[in-house]
Amino acid sequence: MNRKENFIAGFVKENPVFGLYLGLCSALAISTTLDNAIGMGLCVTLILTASNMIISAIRKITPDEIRIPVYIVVIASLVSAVEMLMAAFMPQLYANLGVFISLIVVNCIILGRAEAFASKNGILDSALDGIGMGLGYTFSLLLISFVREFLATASWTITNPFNNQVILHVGLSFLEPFKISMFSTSTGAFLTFACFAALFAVLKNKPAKKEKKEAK
Amino acid sequence: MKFTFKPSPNYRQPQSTQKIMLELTLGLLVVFGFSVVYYAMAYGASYAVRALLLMAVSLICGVGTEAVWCLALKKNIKDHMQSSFPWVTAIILTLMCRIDISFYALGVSTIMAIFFGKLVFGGFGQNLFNPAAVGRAIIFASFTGSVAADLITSATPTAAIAGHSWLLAIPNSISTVCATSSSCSSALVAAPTLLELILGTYAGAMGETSLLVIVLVGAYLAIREVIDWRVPVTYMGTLFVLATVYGLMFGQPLTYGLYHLALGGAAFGAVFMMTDPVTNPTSAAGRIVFAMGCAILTLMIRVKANLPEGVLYSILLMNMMSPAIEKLMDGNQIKTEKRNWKIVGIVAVVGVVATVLCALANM
Repeated sequence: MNRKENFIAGFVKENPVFGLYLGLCSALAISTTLDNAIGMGLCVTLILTASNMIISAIRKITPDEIRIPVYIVVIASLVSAVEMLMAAFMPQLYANLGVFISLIVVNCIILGRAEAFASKNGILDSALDGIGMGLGYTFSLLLISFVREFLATASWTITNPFNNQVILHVGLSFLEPFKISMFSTSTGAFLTFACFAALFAVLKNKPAKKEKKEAK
Repeated sequence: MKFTFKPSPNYRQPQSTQKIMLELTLGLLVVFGFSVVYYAMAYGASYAVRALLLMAVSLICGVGTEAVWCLALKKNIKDHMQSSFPWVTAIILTLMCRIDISFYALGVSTIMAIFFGKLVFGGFGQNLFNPAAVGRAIIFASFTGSVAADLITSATPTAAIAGHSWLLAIPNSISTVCATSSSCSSALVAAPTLLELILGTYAGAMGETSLLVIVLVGAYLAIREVIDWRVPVTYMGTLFVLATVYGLMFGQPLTYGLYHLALGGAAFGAVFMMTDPVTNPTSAAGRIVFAMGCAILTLMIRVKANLPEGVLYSILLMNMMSPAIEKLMDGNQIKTEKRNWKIVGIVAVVGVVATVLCALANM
């Protein structure tokens, strides 16, 4: 697999949320609004890239027996740093995401990529993998939250996390009486996620099916 | 040795799934007919027309969803409909709604109930949850505010009574809560008398109000073996006993248990939803445990939880337990009779203990 393929894999084929079903806990819980999705997605991308690079750099001096504790220490330090930075500069987003920022430590995507990719590949490849996977995660969060925010509030809002100014607000007020408030709860999260996961499975299996037919 | 050459019992039986569903549909329509007549007599023809329109919207949405599903999967629509019965879900869902629900809310919840509650699981016969109950839960979760403003908007008796731990149901008794609560009088006005509750002449969910009509239809269906009589009888018996235990602890009269049966969806749920052959256990003993579990959960949700009604959620929760009950009651039903009675006894004791604990916590 070359670098470009590796980078793109995170979007559809190995999309962490819809393809590999990793990091679902945070994906379902915080995907209520686009703001949360963007904040959480970029946060994870940043940590994932940094942790991938560090773990890749120390892969040759890490003893195999204690590699998981070493990864956790690296990831936890990064998460703590990001968490404190967010509390200082984006207090509103920090409050919205709540405990899910600290829980990035145990996010399976980050540990999974460290174990499956960064511990076996060079620094540049690992960084690209981190960015690709992180953007794939962000993309999935955006998809879920795009649907959920619209169905639950009949509008989309994007705010600047640093000063809480509304950058973009698309509100279809005539649809206001028709909103389905269930989509702001976890039930809605699961329904939306299931529909997208089914769609991605179809996309993923299409080439394989074609090959099978041709082989016959 | 004697050999008998006959077709298997399910082929010899004159009843097919289609016939059972047809009779069930007719039974549901009788309940709906009563409701339409009541609204026409008590509130005027426009209400009756609205009830009919609601039913039409739900039916169109339900059948339409299945038709689209067939087109998407390239199935034969006619064959699929004959073995899928979307109208039963639509009718039950409509009957569980109040007449002031908006057309949009009913339509969307029907579509979601059929799609997420039934088709996604693999269609009729494979669904884990009762699709109509799923639809009603969606309405509870999403559309409680989506009602037509120009109709009777006063709270149903269930909602008014639920605000007082289900104790103010009895107009002629002074309960402990009533003596101290100032809002007690309004609930007393809203609470119909026992006779009204049994006849169903009050505003509530369209099909759930009349205990009498539902029991008559249920008895007919049970005699025709469309539904299993054990489920409603066990459910209502358990609910009555537990409610009486609960009422006695608060010094309510002995008729208190009847209010629990007559109010809300207890009778309707028992006859038309708990008996759904797809979502309840197959063995007779399993069905008895299933119905008892429903009754216990109904009472607990009614007296303790912050919800107006418990029947719906008790059905959904017990649907989830069905496979476990099936496994627990597995085996030769005659050989394992002793064990099954033991399990029923344990469930009964758990129910009584839970009820007493609920009552103690509410005191």
